[in-house]
Amino acid sequence: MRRIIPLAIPLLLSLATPSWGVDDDVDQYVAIHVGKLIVGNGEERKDVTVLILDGKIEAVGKDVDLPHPCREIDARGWTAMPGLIHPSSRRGLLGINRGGTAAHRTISEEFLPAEGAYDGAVEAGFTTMVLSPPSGNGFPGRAMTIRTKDLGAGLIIEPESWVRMSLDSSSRYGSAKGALRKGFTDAKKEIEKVEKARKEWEEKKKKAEEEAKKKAEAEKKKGGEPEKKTPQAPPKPGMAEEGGEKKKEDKPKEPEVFKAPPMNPALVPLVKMIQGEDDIFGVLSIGGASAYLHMRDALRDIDVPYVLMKGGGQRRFGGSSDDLFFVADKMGERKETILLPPSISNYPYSINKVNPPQKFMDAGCSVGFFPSGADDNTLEGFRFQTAELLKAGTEREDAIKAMTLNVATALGLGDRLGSIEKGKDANLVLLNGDVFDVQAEVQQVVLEGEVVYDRDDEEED
Amino acid sequence: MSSLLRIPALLSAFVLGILLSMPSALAWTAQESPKEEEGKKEEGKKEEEAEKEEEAEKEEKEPDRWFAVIGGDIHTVTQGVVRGGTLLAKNGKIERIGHDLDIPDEAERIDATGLRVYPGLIAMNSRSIVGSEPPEDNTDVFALNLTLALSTGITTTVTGNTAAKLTYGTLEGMVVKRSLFSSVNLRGASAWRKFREELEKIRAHDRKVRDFQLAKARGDKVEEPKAQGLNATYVKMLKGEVTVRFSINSVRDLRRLAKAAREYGFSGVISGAQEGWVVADELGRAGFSAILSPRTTRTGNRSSNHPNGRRIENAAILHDHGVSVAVVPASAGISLNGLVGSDLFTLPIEAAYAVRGGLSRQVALESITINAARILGIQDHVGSLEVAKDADLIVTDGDILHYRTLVYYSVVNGRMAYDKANESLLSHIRPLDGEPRYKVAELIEELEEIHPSDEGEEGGEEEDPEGGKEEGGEEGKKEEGEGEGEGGDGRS
Repeated sequence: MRRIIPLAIPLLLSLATPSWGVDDDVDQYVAIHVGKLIVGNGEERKDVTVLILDGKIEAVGKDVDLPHPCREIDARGWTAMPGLIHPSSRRGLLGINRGGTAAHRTISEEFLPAEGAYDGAVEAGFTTMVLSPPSGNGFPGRAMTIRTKDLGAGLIIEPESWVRMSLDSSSRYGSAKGALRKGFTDAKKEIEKVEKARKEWEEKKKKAEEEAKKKAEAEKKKGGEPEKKTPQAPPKPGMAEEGGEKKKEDKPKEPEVFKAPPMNPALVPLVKMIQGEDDIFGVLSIGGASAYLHMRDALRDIDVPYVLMKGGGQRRFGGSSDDLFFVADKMGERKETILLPPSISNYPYSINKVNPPQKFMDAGCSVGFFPSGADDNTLEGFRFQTAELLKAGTEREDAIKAMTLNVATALGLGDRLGSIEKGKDANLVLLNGDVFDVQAEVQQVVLEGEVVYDRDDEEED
Repeated sequence: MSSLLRIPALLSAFVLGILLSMPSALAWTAQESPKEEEGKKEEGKKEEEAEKEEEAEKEEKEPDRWFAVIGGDIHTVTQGVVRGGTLLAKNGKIERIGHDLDIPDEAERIDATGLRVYPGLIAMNSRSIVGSEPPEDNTDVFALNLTLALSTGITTTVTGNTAAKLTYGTLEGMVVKRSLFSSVNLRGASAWRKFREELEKIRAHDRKVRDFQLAKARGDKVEEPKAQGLNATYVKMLKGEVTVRFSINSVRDLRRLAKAAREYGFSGVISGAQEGWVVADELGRAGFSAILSPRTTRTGNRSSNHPNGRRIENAAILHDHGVSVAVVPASAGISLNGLVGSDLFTLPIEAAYAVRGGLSRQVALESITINAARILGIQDHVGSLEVAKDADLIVTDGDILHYRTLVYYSVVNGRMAYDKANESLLSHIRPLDGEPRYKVAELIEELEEIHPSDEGEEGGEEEDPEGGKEEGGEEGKKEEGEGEGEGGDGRS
């Protein structure tokens, strides 16, 4: 613990200074000519130039006027796709136990990645990773969004992103449910506490004002022309008070501004979620169909923004299977967003196969994919795992969207990540074949305009 | 314009806002002064908002949920059998039972022609079917055990001290009643002594209170006796405010209980009551109910010079002496370990054992439906098929007490909770339309095509599905059992 905190602080501070982009030549234009562009929003284009400036995509099109000077990358034989996003992993984290409601705790306290901790992720095409608190009942803390760059100041995108929540337990839902309920009920109490204090303060202020008014009127009646007289009048008790009022008005900052009573810091993110402040949302890992129903029951009277993520809780009966898709229709009615691994699973208690992601898509949910693990092999296999869904009936367009833009949108990063469009971060993965082609390999990875991985370099080494 | 004139103008706009749509109200007021127009605009807006809210409320209100079971023999348990009748449920409650009912088009339907309809069975003891208390927070409503229990016909169960329904796929309407029983532990002579002492204390206190009331009525100045050191559970028990459950099996203890009950004037539920047949008369007079397992038999202690032992006739004898009987299996769990194991998977068969012991079929059926509901105090909701009760029912292909009978549908709160044809467990066994709807059966057929086996045809498959079922009873069962056994042997 003692060693982590001093290291974590500079990382946090680094946020204050936006330091993306290329080190020295800030105004350097980069143009990438690609044979095929998978935009990420479902579109696919051929022979396109992507113009990048200062880490952002400046233009995308067939005939982009190239400014001078401009570094050009010829990838005409390759396919470009948006940099992938891993919405929840614990790669490079130490592991600190947290229990109960501690929604304010951040990842920085256990963030101590080794040199090259995310190299494998970059190789697999992942340019953004969300590091999440360990799963468990209650609110173990907030996640952190990072770039999978080399270690350094510019690693962190968001030190405090989503709030982790979960309802995983497959045998006892009660405790997880209770923790969820308790967190938000306590947060509501905090809000009420502040509201009550504010009301009291306002009443006090009103009373004071009325009294002041009455006194002023009394003065008026008494003195006829108090405005002129007041300053000249000899010090009477009433006068002194009025003077006091005036003084208050003269320096109103102190008493006029309402000071909210301090809230329990562990609940502040939850309070903000309830009040819809700072775009804070929860990522709720959900075990199965019953867990979803229990979650909806627990949050019946609480309207907070959240995204669902397939978590633990499996049914076994001849291989692994999960039953969350049993409630796909109910989830679709609520237009839920669900992040899940793109995998085919067994229909519960049978050997029949189902394609759960497709069930959610059909029901009208917004579906995003993430690899079932965060190790190099799983990350590399992510594309091929998704390819299997195509075999099981998922449309290519939907699958690509679920791999890229939907994940970014789900995490509230849709305006800067997830697709290769003007104004977004220049995160591109260049492949020497189709995204779902098992033989295609990642050739280059561009992270905010900078080539952070080049297969040729690696092979030379 | 004067304020006097303005008021009626505003009022009329208000009325128009209701009667006509917003634009017409605006058009009418367009001639008025701009200030008024603004005011009216606001009025109109308010009206519109109010209308919108009303609409939203209407939309929020869910449409009525209709469920119809058509053409089956409806065994209501309490009101006889309606042959080829129809049961119509609205929003989870039974709306009507009869013939030629008007069924709304949107109703979910079960064609029960040739099948029987029973109230859902009640399992008075259960383990790991619904979650631990509170069940609405701990239950996995898609669990295999839940489906297994529903496939047996169970729709209501007890977990901890709560009666809960097997609401497959939803958490709504799960809890029927909480705090069912107060349990009293009476093990060993000292516990009994203490029990009587406590009761005696309460009785003494009651006497004091009576004396006090009499004295007060006479006008004497007396102090009201204080109720101190009294066992709260027993006080409530004597007043009849709680149902007390005694877990007692031996003759000696049952006799002690019956004696105490007669002396102090209380009643309750006896769980176990294995040697109850010996003291059936005393228990009946004291008004006890019994939760028992007819199959738990054991030869008595021959050296004892009074009758004892556990007999299959227990349920019948108790019933004959006025003890209301509910049947439970010996094990509260549910599993697939043997098709006729002593667990909840065979709850109706457990009741059939009571029939073997002399209980009438009707009472045996009651022992797993309405009697159980009465003991739990939930007879107004479940336990029989009556109008205004909950639409918890099962549809079977024969007498529910017969071991060969299969449950085809289980309905809980007017919602389909189990449809045999759509479950992987039993869908391939005697499908209704001859064609299994579930894919597993297809897979089995495919496998059989690949590996054709002659034994498969011999064993079980060619049995007459009707055979023995109508006869029921002991002999029929035996025959069938042997038949099955032979089939099984042939296969292996």
